[in-house]
Amino acid sequence: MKLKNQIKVQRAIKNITQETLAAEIGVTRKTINTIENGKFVPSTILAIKLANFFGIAVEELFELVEN
Amino acid sequence: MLLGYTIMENHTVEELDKSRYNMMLWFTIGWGIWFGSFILKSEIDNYALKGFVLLLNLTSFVIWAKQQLKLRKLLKIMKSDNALSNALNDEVVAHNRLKSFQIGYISFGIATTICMMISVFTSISVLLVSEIILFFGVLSGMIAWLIYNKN
Repeated sequence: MKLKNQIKVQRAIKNITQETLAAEIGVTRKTINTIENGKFVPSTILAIKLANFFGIAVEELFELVEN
Repeated sequence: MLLGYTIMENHTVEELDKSRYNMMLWFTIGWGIWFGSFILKSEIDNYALKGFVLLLNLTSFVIWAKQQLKLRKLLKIMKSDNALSNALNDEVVAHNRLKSFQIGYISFGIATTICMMISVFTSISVLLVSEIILFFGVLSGMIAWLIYNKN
């Protein structure tokens, strides 16, 4: 199973950079980059923070897909 | 609603993150050469070579000590700003730190096993064994941190 995310799409909709998103969430840009690229699976707290920021449900932002 | 810090602070976070990476890089180089030459120094008999190793030892110690001062400065900045501290120690950083410790721990085990195997065939001093284990354990952990946190 793999965790797919819509962060890049949501960022494009909001027209914000990884740096801006990192500042809003309170993490480093590197963290946003690793989550966005699927290299790191975020904690529930961070996933909720991201979903809240984009104004969507966590399941909409993150999705489990078969490898 | 802002959950973290302001964009202006974000530049500081990015700058401090880069500065921490560079600091760790020089820490690793400094510590590796300093402790490596420290081990070699006691094993070398050649006078000229011993002088060179001693010079290397002192130079790398200065590099290592300079990074220690930088680290103190960074910790002071982080202590004064909670949001900055949380951002610099976010979960990816904590995860990478844990993985680096694991690599260091495994290296400790490997170095210990190798030293034990060598001791079957030849006598090896306890001090040298401790130095080798410490050298490989710490150095591999630091190198792993640099690899995991590379941008």
